[in-house]
Formats: sequence, structure tokens, C-alpha cells
Amino acid sequence: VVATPAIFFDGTSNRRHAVMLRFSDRLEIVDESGRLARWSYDGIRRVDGPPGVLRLWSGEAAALARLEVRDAAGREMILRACQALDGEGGVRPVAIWRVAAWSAAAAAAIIGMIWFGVPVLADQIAEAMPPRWERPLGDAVDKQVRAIFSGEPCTAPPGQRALGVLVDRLQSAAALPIPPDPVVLRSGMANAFALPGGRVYILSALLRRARSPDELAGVLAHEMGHVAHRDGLRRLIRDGGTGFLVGLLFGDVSGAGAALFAARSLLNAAYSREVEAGADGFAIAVMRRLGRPTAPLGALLERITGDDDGAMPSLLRDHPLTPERVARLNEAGVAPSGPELLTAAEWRALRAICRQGG
Amino acid sequence: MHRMTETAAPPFAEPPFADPPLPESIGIVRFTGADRTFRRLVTRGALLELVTFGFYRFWLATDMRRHLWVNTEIGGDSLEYTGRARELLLGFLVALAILAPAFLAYFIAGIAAERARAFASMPLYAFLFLFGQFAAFRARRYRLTRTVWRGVQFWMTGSGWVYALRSLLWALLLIPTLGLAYPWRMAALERYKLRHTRYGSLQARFEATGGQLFARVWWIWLLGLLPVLALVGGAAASAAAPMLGAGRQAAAVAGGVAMGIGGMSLVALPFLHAMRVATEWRWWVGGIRFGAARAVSTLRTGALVGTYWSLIGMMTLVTTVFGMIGGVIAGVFYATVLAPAGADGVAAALGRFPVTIGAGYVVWYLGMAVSLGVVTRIYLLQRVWVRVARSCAVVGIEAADCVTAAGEAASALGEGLADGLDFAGF
Repeated sequence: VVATPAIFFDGTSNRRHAVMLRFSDRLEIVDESGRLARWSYDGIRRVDGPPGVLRLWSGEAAALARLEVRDAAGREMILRACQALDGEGGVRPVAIWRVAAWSAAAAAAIIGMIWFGVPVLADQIAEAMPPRWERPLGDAVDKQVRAIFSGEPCTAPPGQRALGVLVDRLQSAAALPIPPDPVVLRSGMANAFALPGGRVYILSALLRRARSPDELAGVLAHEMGHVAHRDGLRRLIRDGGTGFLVGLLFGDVSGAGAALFAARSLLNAAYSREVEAGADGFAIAVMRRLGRPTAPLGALLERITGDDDGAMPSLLRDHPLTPERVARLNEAGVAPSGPELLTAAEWRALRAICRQGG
Repeated sequence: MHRMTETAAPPFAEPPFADPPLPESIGIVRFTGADRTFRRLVTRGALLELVTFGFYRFWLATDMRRHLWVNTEIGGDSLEYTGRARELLLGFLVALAILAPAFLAYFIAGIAAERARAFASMPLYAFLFLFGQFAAFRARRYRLTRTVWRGVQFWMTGSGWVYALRSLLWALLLIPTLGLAYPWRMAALERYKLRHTRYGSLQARFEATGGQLFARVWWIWLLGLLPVLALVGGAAASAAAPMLGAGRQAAAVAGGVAMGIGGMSLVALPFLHAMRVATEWRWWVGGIRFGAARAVSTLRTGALVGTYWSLIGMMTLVTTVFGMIGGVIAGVFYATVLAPAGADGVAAALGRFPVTIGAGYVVWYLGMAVSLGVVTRIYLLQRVWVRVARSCAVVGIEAADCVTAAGEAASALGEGLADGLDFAGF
């Protein structure tokens, strides 16, 4: 019987046994006091060992029993005698292709969920949620919006009265479940947006750039369309769901914050076309019901997107394909049949809403 | 007998009634791995992470630990890491099931708090912090129970929530003390963790104190404050100079000089940081006890300076290279898309290309993130591990000779939670 020196840990105590290995019908682990263990060759598995050490474990022994063969000749003998060193239960190198294939499947499922599942889910939730539940959401964001725009709503009373008149006219045709209460915020950005809960904001530069009540009414009707379609709530649910799902991928590649941002802007670009078209459709319907033209909204859009050359990030600008939208608004127009939405005096007052003491 | 060795005041003096000293009384810690092997491992792992949408991270983390553990030899026997990537994956999935509703609850609670006052949801971060600390404790427990030395595993008792609460309370104490409580906080948390750590039947404890750490690092903190103070003071002096009468010129010059010195000495910060980290390691290792066996570290205070400067150099290199690649891509994009579109068509051109731009940006960003990941894994994990390990020894290692196996393997839930909280930007 051939023999070779080794070190044995029986897995129940950490005592280091200097042993001899005897290669009989099984591997016999023997020290001066006698036989410590007998391992059948097929049950022996290789586990992680430092360089130059063959570290073994047997399925017949305690889970952490270890046999270390440091002698080169002994390692040779073990390699020859044990046929299943890297068999089931041992430390086998992972099959990269299997990991890659499962990852691809998981990623495809996640991306599929982001692309198809999340919008559907957002729609379902938005439809199921009563409008007044949205209110707290809007209130929460409202505080932040005001903080970002230095919290300065324009409140000149004549202007507010004129705005009220305009909103009432639009509401008579739009019939939103909760009447909107737009706020004009002082800002150099020509823009308007709606938040969940039906809050509509007009930034003062937009008011300055508007040339007629119809232009502003078009913008308001467009934002009311977002409110009616509950786009803000849907976007919120979508962003939350997307963020969570994207986070599953690339979990620890430095926070994935930027990847998340990129994914979000990618998706928004894809979604917003549809969403904006929907809001435009709403605006067209409202303006027609009031017998007012829709082309002025297109003209205002063109004026704003045309001139700021990308120097300023604008929500209107991230709406894709302005020319397409303008064309649609122009085509949808009907000859004005209803009364002017505001008198000249009211329009002047509204445009002066941000003037101090006005 | 081992108890008595432990209580002897001068560490190397033998009590009169002790057994004759054993030859292996000091267990040397060695590291047998090559830098090259680890570099290849993480580079390959990073590329596979890209191919597998990041899911390879569980296998990479496992392989890195296997490499570090098995090459760390204590008293002639190397460690073994018995954790498996599948366990991490499973832990991650279970953590998701817990985190998804938790995040939703957090989100709703956040809205309710914001409604009361803008940005008022800050206290909720305390909850996330608590959760993170719980995850860290449980992750440590997982790693320990997968650590085997001489056929016996390490394990942990104690409660993750109790630990998280202690950690939070100590963290709150940092605020009124302007961070001076930091050494005591560290000592208290290490005491809790090590008190609940076992190697088989052998219980660990932590004997270093916050006061000792403070005594060793206060001057480093002070030196680190000096450049900042010089900058702030210099700026203040320069700003105040025009208002002064007679000493106007002198104040302006003094302010400028102070700012210059402060700016230049910012270069010293990486040195100071490396020195603080090395000192902390030495302090931490020196406080570890397993029964009568105690760990010591001879890590020099400057031992990690080279490592940190290498890290800074490599990160600069990576960001420069990727910055150049980004510049070239932007240039090509401008020349092929924006310039032909002309000033009027820019918006339309951008509108037509968001998907390609976005996808290109994602690939570029992931490439950079993965490269930076390789660099940090090498310099912040492996190099530090190797330097610290090689500086260590276990005095009285014979105290760990008759240990019987104990402890159950813990689940990888903590690792999953930690991973899950990571992507939430925590």
C-alpha cells in the first residue's frame, strides 16, 4: 500500500492531525494513534485550497472535514485515485454561459415589464385611484415646485380674476372632476406643466410670450388634458416602477443612478409623444366646444421651441416633434364661432399678474 | 492555563506557573495570492457583469472572497470561503420581496411627510439607515458563517435590529459632538459585533477602546482640518480686506497667502486619509480577542499611502480616457447629426435620435462604471486586504487549538438587503 503525508481536520474540532494517507480499496487517513477515517475515492471532492495545496472533503465526512495534501507526489496520487474530484457537491467553476443565458432571460423579462407591463399597470392604478387620492401627491410636490421656483406665485388681484374667468370658461367645456386652480409662478422659463392631483402651473415667461388669450387658453386646455388623463399620476407610477426594475439590473455598478436617469429619459421620450398627442387632442376638443381656434396654441409652441436653441431646458422642448403637433393643431382648427374668451382689459390684467401692486 | 496567559500584564512575559512556551505561540498571518491573479479575476468579472446585465455580481463577489480567503494563512493554515453565488442570488431575491413593499411604504410615508412641510421627510432617512445597518450586520453574519479555518467555521449570535438601533443612536450622538464621538461609536459597535462572534466554541471580544483610537488619530484629523481652515480663513480675510483701513494691503496679502497654502495643502488630504485608515486598521486588529488568543497588527501608519495614490492615479486615468471617448462620440454626433440639421432643425434632430443617444450614453456610462469598479476593487479591497493581512499576527494562537465546531450557517438575506439598499442610492 502506498502512503503519503497529509494534514487532516475532522470537522468536529479544529485539531490539526498530521496523518498518513494509505491508498487501499479506500483512502485511509491514519495517524500514530490509529485510523481516523476511511473515505471512498468516489466521494472525495476538491474544495478551495491555497496555491500548492490540494484540499479535499468527502461526502461521507462532516461538512467541514478537510484533508490537505501539500506534497507534490501525494497530490498526483490523489488526482489519479479520485475520479470525481470536481463532481456534484464540490466547488465547480460556474458555467458562464448558463449565467449569461439566465441573465439575458431575466433582463429581457425586466425590460419587457418596463416597456409593456409598467405602463399598463400605471394605467390600471391611475384609473382605479379616486381623483381626490391624488391630491396629497400633488400637495407634496407642490411645496417642492414652489421651493424650486423661489416660491413666488404671482397674485395681482385683477390678473387672478382674469385667470379665474379663463379657467371657468375652459372648465365649462372640459368638465374635470376637480376644477383646476392654476398658479402663475415667476420664472424666466416659458413653460407650463401639470402635477398629479390636478395642479396646473404657468411660468410667467410663457404669459409674457403669449400674444392672445387663445394661445394661453390652448396651453391651459392642454395641461387640463394632462389632468383629465391623469398623466402626472401615471408618470409617477411609471417612474417609480421603472426605477425599481432598472435597479434590479446592474445593482452594484456604482449606484446605477445615472443608468436609471438615462433609462427614464429614454422611456419618457418614447411615452411622451403619445401622452402629448393625447393632451393636444383634449385641448382641440375643448377649444372646439368653445368655438375657439386651435392654431394659436401651435403658434405659441413654435415660437417657444424655435427661439431658445436648446440653451434652456424646457418641458415643452422635450415634447417630441413640435412640427407634427403644430401641423395637427393647424388642421384641427375651425373658424372662430364662439365669443372671445377674455376681454382686452382682462387679457391686459392677466398679462400683468406678476407686476408688483398691479 | 490559557486564561492565565491572557491576564498576564506584559504580553510576552510568562506567568511563573505557565507551561513552557509552545513554538507556535505566535501565529503569523501570510497572504499567498498574486496581485496578477486578483486583477485578472476582477477584470474578467467586470466584463461578465456587463454581458449579464450585472447579475454576475453575485459570482464575482463570491470569487473575490474565495481568492482573498483561501490565500490568507493564519498560523500555517489558510482560510476557506464556503459561500456560494447562488446563496447571494437567493438572498437578493428574498430581500427584494421584503424591500419592494418597504420602499412603497417608505414612498407613501414620504409623501405624507412632504405634505406637511416641503422636504420634511428627512427623518425617514433614519429608517433607511436603520435598515442599512441591519443589513450590514446580517451580511457580516453570512460572511462569517462561510469562513472556515482548520475545519471549523466562524459564526455569530446577536440581533441585527439591536445592532442597527445602537448604530443609529451612536450616529445621532455624532451630531452634537461634531463627529468627535466617532472613535467611541466605532469601539462600541465593534464590541457588540465581536462579543457576538464565535469561532466554533471559542468566543471573541473586542478590547480596544474609543479613547485609544482617539489618541492615535486626533492629530490626523486636526491636520486634515488645517487646509480647510486656511482656505476659509484666507477667503474671509480677503473678503474683509477692503473694509479695513490701515491694514488693508496686509490683510489681502495674508488672506491670499493663506488661501494659497490651504489650496496646496489639499494635496495632503489623501496622505492623511491613508494614514487614518491604516491607524484604524491597526487599532481594530489589535483589539480582537478569541479566548486567550489576541491579534496584533504592525501596519505602519504610512502603509496605505501608496495604495491610495495609486487609486487616485488610476481613477484619473480611467475618467480621462472615458472623457476623451465621450468627447469623440459627442464630436461625431455633432458632425453627423446636429451640424447638418442646422440651427432650426436641432430640436427635430434631437427628437429623432433619443434612443440612439440614450443607448450610447448607457453603454459609455456602464463601461466607465465597470472600469472604475475594477480599480476600486483592486486598490480599496485587495491591496488593503493584503497589506493589512501581512501586518497581522495572532499571539497565543495555541488558545485556539482545542476548539470544537459549533454554529449554523446563516442565510444570505442580509447580503441581499445590503445589495438592494445599494441600488436605492443609500
